[in-house]
Amino acid sequence: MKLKYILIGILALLGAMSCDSYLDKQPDDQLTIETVFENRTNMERWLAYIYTGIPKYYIYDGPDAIADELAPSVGWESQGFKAILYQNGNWTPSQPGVITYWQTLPKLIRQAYIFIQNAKPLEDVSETEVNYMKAECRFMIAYYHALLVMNYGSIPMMKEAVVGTNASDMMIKQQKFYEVVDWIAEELEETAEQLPNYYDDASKYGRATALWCYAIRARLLTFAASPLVNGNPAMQNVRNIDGENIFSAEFDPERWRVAADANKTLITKAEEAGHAIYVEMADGDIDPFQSYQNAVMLRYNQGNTEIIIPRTYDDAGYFDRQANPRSMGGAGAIGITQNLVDAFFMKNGLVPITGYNSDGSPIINAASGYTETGFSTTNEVAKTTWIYADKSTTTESKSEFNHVIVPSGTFNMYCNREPRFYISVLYNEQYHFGKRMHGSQNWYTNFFSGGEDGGPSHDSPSAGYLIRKRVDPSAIPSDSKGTYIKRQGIVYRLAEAYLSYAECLLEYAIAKGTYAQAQAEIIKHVNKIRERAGIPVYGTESGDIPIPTDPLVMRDLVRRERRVELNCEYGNRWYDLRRWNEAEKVLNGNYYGMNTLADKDHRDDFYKRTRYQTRKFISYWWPIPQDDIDKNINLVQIPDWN
Amino acid sequence: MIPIKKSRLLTATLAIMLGAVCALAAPSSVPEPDPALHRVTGNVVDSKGDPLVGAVIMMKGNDKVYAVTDLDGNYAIDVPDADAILVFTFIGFTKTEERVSGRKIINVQLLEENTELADAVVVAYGRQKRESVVASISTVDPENLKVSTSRSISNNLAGSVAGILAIQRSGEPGYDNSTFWIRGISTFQGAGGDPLVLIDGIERDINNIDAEEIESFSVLKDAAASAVYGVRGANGVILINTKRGQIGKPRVTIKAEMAGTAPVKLPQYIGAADYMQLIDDTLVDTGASPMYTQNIARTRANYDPDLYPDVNWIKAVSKDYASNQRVTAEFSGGTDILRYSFVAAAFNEQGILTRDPNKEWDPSIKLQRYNVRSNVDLSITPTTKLRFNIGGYLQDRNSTTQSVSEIFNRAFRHVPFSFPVQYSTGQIAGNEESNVWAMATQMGYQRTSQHKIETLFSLDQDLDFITKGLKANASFSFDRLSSGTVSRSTTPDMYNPASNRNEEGMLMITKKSNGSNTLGHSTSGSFGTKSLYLEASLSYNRTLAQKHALQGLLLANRRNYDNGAKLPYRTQGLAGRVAYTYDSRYVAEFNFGYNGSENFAKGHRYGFFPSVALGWVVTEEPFMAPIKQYVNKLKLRASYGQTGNATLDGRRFAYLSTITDDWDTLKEYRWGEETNYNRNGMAEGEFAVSDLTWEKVNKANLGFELGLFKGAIDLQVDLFDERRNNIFMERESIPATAGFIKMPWQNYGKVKNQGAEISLKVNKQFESGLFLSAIGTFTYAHNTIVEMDEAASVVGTNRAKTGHPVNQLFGYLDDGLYTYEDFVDVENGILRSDLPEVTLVNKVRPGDIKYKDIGGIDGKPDGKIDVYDKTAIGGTVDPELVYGFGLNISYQGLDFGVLFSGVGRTWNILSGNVIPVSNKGVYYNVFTNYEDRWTVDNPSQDVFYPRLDYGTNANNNQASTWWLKDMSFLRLKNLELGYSLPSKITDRIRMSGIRVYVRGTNLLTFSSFKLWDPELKSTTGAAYPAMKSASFGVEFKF
Repeated sequence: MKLKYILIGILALLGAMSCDSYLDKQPDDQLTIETVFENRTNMERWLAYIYTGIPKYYIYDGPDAIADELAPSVGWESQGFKAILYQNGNWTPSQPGVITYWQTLPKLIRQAYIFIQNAKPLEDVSETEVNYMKAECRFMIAYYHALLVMNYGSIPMMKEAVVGTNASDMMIKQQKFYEVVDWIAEELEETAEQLPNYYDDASKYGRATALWCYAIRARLLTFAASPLVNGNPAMQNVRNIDGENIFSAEFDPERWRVAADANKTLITKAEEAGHAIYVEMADGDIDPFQSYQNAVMLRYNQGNTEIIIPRTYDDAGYFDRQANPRSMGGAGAIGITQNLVDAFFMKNGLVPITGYNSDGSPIINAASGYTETGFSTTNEVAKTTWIYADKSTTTESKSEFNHVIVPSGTFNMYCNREPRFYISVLYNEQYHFGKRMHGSQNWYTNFFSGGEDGGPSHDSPSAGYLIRKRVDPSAIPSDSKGTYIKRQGIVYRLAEAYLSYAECLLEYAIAKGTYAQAQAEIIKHVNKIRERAGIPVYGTESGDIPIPTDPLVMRDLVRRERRVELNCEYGNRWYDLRRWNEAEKVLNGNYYGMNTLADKDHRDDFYKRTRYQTRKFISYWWPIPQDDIDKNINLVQIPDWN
Repeated sequence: MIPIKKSRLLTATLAIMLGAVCALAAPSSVPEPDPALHRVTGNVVDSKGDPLVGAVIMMKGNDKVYAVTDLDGNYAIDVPDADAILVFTFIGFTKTEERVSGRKIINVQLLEENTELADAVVVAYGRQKRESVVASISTVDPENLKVSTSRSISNNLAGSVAGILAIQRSGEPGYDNSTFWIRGISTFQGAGGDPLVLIDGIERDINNIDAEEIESFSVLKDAAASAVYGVRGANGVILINTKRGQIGKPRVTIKAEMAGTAPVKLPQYIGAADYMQLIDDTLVDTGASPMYTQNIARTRANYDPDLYPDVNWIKAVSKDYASNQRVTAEFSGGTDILRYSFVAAAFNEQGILTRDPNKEWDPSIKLQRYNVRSNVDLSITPTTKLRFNIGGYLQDRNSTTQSVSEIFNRAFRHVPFSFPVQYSTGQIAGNEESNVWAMATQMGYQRTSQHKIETLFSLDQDLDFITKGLKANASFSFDRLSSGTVSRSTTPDMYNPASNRNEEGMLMITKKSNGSNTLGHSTSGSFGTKSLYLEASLSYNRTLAQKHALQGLLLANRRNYDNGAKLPYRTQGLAGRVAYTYDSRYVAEFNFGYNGSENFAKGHRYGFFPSVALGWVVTEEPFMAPIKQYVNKLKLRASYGQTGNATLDGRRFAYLSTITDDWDTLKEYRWGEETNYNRNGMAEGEFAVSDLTWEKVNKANLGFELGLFKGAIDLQVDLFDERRNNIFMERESIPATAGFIKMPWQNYGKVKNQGAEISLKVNKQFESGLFLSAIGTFTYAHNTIVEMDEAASVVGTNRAKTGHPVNQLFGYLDDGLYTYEDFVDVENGILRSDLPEVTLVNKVRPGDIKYKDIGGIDGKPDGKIDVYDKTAIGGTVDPELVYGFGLNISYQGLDFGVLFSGVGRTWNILSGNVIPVSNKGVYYNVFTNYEDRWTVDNPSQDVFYPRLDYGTNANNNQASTWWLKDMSFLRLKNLELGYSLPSKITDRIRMSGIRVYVRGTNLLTFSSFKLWDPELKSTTGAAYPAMKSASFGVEFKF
């Protein structure tokens, strides 16, 4: 009988196992779209992801590096630095690259739409707050579309979050450039009215405001008025799947007026909200060294009201490490180009180099006093509290106003340049505060071959310069020291608005032949930049630089002012070179720097312009990734990339 | 032959081992005879005359009267009737009957069964007689799996088992398991490609069982064999059963083996001076100035090794030799009530990473594994049997805190001239590539301990009282794996490479980063895995009227697998089998699996997987009788059926939508004036796919089996065709502008997989005592993607993956190198107008690789070399062909074995990093064949490298047929020579056998690819090399 029980037991077991409930279980912590938006923290987390698409400021494999600005060590190419591949013209649509907006931003745009659809007021989230958050999402959708259209030119508009997963519903086609631009501009204008100028809550600093909307709108409309897209015959081969031209064939000067208005609106609203050009004073005068340096170093709550759009989460410490000389624990390899070195004005406010000969040698403006032969014989002194240039001063003597900025014996190329030059460029044999604090035997940069900061190591500047702007001058990477480590990225600062406004006015005036009438307003805004930079302004007073009567000369000066002021910031130069239709000229051909193969025993050889790279320019527009061209049969690649 | 006198080592070892086990070898005692009974004594030997220990002698018709042979093969049995019939049985030998007829001494020689025909084959959920097996199943003698000193038996599968494609991609201790597939790859999804491995019927890891634990090894390949596993059987099944005790006196086997190991092959690189010279030559060639003139001269002159070093980094971090040791002990025996088998194994392995003798701690790689297994069978009643298995292992691994594979990777790519291993003044320098010697020896060590327990509790009940042949079984098993790590890490002070010496001759050296300089301490543990398994079954097995053999099975099972995820993984199912054999001639079988998976929504949860198989044993036909002495087996079989897969790669509960907050994808953002309001990202995750259901594989198999000359030659040929449908995949055709973070899943893909396997065995016992056996295996599988939701504009073009094997290599077709004649203007890189324009690079030069223009945006050649010209080249990296052949000879006490295994139809495309100086001397070394290249002075097409550039050449580093290399190879996998002491000697010391042997593993490799070991998957050669070994072993049997 015992066996029967066993049998019954086994059969019972078989029976028990066949019930379906064994598999009937679900994760108990699974959030759904509905439940996510029932919780404040989750809403903020959703929003946080959407914000991550704001391009980083402290990035050196990005747009700055593919313009004629940053020059990461060409040796870093082998470590996957994409910018160098791009500089060399080794670029195809099938390689992901420096700009990956096509792949990343649609994801964020979709999440923003989902937020707008689902967010609702909660017990601890008021209706006003929800509306602000939704408006932030709307801003982000517009901003990301702006980034896409300014980089790819020909894009489809993502006006909703796709429902369902049927691939053929997602084959959206490209729209005309101005249709996209005007839609974004309108969205931004409407969104601006839904958002405050600032938030009272300090923890909300960094969330989109009305000013953000105005700033991005101004930037986009300035881009959209520019020669690249405004009646450019070379762009008439860009079409969508229906054969429509993406870019307008007719030059429309009103685009410049609209852009000028957008910039003016931004300036008015920003100034009303208390934003101003950042200045520090030294003994009653503007201290141009400290002012320019800290305009990009300090946070808003440290008094830097110039910032309009901050990226409140950025990676400055890492940037410092990559930029500081190797011997003090940095990677010593984020260089800058000779082009940028040449672009800075002289101390007297004049242009040193007006162009280049075909062999790369500079065309020197003799009136400027610039020379690139020999070495200086006297110390150059300036009234500043900027302590980082002078070996005789240390932190304690910050109150002195008589600093040696350029000691005698410096290569003449680097003498008598404007203050922004010394804040932006780290050249060879320059006194280096960080190296001294690190305890190095040598307090001067040593970019000579075999030098502790130089080649043949690839952690050295390929063109003979390192970037100094945006780099914490007190940072000592080997000891993880520095006083500015917690700084934020700057997406937009007021200086850009002044310069854009001046440019738009000027271009409109050129188109309409009304330069004389517009001159005063143009000069006024350019001079705001030059005053802070500590160089003579354009004007009629004594000591002023005469205002050019030829608007085309003025155009060069406005553009140069912009190039210098906004150098190495947020890819501005990359966008400017393109919208001015100059990229093809500037980003093609030989690039020169100092001769980094020269060792210290051949000092003079170092200071010779030497080709270090030959660049090739391919297109004004970033290629649509091949993957998407393959998948979306309604997309048309920019012809340059076919 | 190793004469004992000469081998002091052997004698010493013997003495030690004997001492250790003498207690176990207790003398057998013979009870006094009962005068009422008739006593028979005798000796049972095998065909070689060696005693059979544990042979059972039973009186026919009265199983209470039995005896078992002792260590010398002697027995004594008292039978009540002097005319009784004695039945002599021994596993693996033909049953022999002897009528006593009043005899007092009966000596019997038992003949080995013709194992090919008579033994039982382990099949899914049971055993079948070999002749009635109609599914495609390979069985392997576990002895054939002991062909190397490797920790993992997966490394011994290649070439030994027909139907398995195996390849070992690394030699790193603890991570050197082979990757293997049964009949190749038939899916392009990450999950659902691995075979199911069942050890004693439970899903377990093949790599952590010791070969000595294995009793049987079967590979189930077609649907008929694996359909009962339904959901889990799609990729084939490996069934391993561990050893069980047999009735008999205790038997003890002790084996010890020690091996010296060394890398199979290391790449050969040039030194510092030659490397720098090559850089300078290349610079000059491309119109730039040389950089290293002084360094080269000083390096060659050994002027100042601190400033001008020449380091072989592989040598700096590794030893030439390592070793491993293995000791196993096996005890088994039993009575009709209780049978037992205990196996214990200890394995110890050292890696080739070096240490710093100045540090008291040791980060070099050491791995120890201890396996134990105890299998007990208890006959509770004559019809009730209880099985109880406990097994497990403990594995300890000591290693560096840095990833070993990363250390090897870096050691291979560190350039020889950037800085010395350590300055003569003691500082350690490093650049952005850090210092690999410091990574290996200066950064502390860590210990990982992993342990696993495996249990099985099973009850078998004969239900003959209901109907004869019916049995019931219930099994329960739980396994638990866990591991923990103790990390003692530290960092040294790091310096920038010295730039020069100052006036006093001191090195000018600057600090790069401060180290911690003391050992830190941290521990971490992982949840590990836990699995519970429950199974109940009814089986029926009976032959009616001598002609109708019936087999039936109905089984239910349930598995709960918990790896620490939010919820454990669950499956349950039913399986069944009906088999009928008529007169041993015609076999028909029907199998099914019916399985449920939690991954699918209700209504889509269960899948039914049927299979049918038919067989015809031609040799059983009466008309074959005349030639049966030559053709002892001829069997034809065919099967067709379905298996399934429910595993999705990285996705569970696919019918539910998810919200993701994965930091790696979504990152975080911070707001606030002080950047202190931190929120990690959160977003829409997976889409709900309510109708997602089983991935199904339809499998067809045709088999042919031939045995000749009484089984001396045995040939088995299988042809297969698998169609996998409904493959789970994330949609591939949705454009990025849809904004999906995760692409939706769907049952979408289709893959076809076809191939053949051949297995040939030859066994011949000669009159002279010479025994010869040979094996040959051959496995070929080729798959084709039929549907993978590829972008519409790609399908049908040369770029399409559809129509090619999974993981097909793609690249450009090279057309040799550009010559001067190809250019109109060499200086500006302007090509002749009849040649396609190159868009990959800003300009090409003579000596660069020329590609063929085969496609364009509209599918036609467009006069441009661009992405549209890529096409399928070569085949896949994973081999499509694996074969092996071996020979074993034994004569008197000597035995000799050799096994070759090889793979074919395997390719790789070398990475652009192998191009000398393309990384500007920052990293990657230069192979010694660097002079085999195009230069202005040697404008040859027949070279290994094209023209060199200082830096990346985006034309030459493209994947192309130029860099496509055939990675086929043939290895001398095992070479073994053994000697068994004659029984005269072993008898005297009361042992039943002593064997000593020497063995070499991976001694020779033949391949057309010369730069590194072709078995490595690497495209640069930078990987922990596979090892070859030479070992010595000794085996004692009591």
